[in-house]
Amino acid sequence: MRILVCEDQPDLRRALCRTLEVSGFAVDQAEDGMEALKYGLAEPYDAIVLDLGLPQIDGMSVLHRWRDEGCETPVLILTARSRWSDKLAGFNAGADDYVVKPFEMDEVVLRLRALIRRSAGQASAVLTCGPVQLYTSEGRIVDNGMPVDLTPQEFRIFAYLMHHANRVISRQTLAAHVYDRYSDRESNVIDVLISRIRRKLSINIIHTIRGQGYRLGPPRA
Amino acid sequence: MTSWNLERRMLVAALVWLLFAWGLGGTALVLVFRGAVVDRFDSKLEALAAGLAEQLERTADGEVVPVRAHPDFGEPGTGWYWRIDAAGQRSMSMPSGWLETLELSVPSTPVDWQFDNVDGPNNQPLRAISILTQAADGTRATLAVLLDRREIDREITTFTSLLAASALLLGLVLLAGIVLLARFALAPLRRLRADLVEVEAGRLEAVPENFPSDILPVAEAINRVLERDQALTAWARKSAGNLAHTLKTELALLRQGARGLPDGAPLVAQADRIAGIVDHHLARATSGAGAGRRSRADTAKVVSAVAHGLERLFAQRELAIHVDIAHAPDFRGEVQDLEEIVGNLMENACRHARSQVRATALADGGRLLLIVEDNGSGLTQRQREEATKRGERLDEKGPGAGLGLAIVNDLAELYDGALSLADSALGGLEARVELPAVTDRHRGSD
Repeated sequence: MRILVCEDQPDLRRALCRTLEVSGFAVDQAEDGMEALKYGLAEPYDAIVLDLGLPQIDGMSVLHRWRDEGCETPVLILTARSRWSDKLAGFNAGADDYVVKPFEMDEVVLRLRALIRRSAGQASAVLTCGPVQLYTSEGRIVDNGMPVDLTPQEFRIFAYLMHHANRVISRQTLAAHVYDRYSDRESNVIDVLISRIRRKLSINIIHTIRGQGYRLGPPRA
Repeated sequence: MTSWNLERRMLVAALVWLLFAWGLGGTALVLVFRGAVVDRFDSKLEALAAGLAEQLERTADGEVVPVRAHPDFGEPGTGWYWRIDAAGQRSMSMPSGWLETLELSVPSTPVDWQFDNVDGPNNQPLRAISILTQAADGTRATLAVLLDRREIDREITTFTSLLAASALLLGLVLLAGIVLLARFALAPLRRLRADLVEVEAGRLEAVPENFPSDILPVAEAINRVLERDQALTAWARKSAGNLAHTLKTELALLRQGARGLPDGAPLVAQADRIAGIVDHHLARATSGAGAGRRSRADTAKVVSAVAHGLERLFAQRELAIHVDIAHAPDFRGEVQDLEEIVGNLMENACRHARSQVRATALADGGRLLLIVEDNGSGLTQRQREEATKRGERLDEKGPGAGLGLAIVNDLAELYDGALSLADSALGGLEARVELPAVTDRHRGSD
């Protein structure tokens, strides 16, 4: 899962990115409205954290431009503007959630996970495939009742596949949602990571679709 | 005088001027008329005296008397008398001690006719003429003729009454004209006043600049003041907002840093409290209630928008948010303030509800009544009192939580409204806010 954090205050941006990375997200950063606009339109993020008080182009204008350009990525506004008029303006502009500063980092993580889940069309906070369960709120995987220990990269791949279960996902799409802008995206690395995940699960629920990619689904009979 | 309006000032000034003109003109006219009447009366006296003078003859007794005289001479009550002094004897139209002793001016030559105003035997006013003449036999005689001069007063009274009636009629016509003139002349000012009322009510952004050339500069000056006022208000609000946002961003960092400290919990709590105070004062500073102007806000639209926003904010809670806004009157105030009031009330209800929130907006005695209920655990009486105090928080459900009711209370008071808390039929808290509404009267003037 890949997040774009748009925040001009460097210390707050770094703290937020660190928390999100620790929570299992690949994170890109934008420090002004121009960068935010460009990255948001160019990259397939799973969610975006957007400050309204950005330099160059303010956050509300950036959000309008994203929506006008057809970008449907869920957006969580993270701002000091606590007035309800600002909140309603944010929702009218196309925001999906709104958190007011100062905030709990954990709350932002929880809200992002919920946003990503809902945008993938998943109603339940617990995604299940056979004996394997992903607790989206906690970022925890359980296989036959036992916790599964995945690396951050493995977790991101598995979580993305669980959110888009029964759909064929190409290696490029997986890479785009697993790595940040500065990571090396060799597709064979994805294959290696998929193999590792399979080995850590009691049953194979990630199926290779030749020439297309992967599909997560119930084990084949 | 300073509290009188222009129309009254104009009318009073006109009335004072009219009264002055009437007084001066009337007095002059009466004086001129009186002079004419007295002249005519004196001419009559002169004619009577001249007539009698031609008839004077000396009797055997040596008295000089007129041979013929007007029959009214000598008749009691007519006020007509004559008296002749000649050759040391005094003859009179009738024997009278009063006439005998009456002192009159004495002419020195035949052309020196003397006039006197005297009182008659019954104190009736008389006018006398005394002339020097000769009887038929050449005896020198002083002839005095007296007539009742109340005739003069009667004529002057009649004239004065007629003059007063005419002046009154003319005055009424003039006053009516002045009233019409004042109304016509002051009509642009009345329109300016009505436009300013509309501006104050928020139904007009500025005074329309379609006035006569002498009022137009006033309208333009008012609009410039309004524009400057709006610009200053907007600048002040923006500055307050920027300061608040900067402070809260720094607080977010401070809070994050304190989270990592072993004894950081009090610092986190303090940061939250400061953020709450900032929110509270920002809500007051950016409220339009104190600006004096009253715009209008669509209550139903605001409640719907807030409910929609809350469905997103509380998406994970799967709350049932019901709104009953079919009979909601418009709010008489700034839309941002209504959003703040409704948003804080409903957000507070959503935070504490187990599963259900209900928002109702209706008209109540010409006011807008907002009722927001939840099925949470509610508040005790003491908690309800604490909840509306400035900067008080009742829960620790995260930054910014629990401050909403105090902000609502403050904003409601700024709009001369009131927030009251009670038990809800849903089982939790019921918050009622009474606010100014756009009534039918306001609608009619739109």
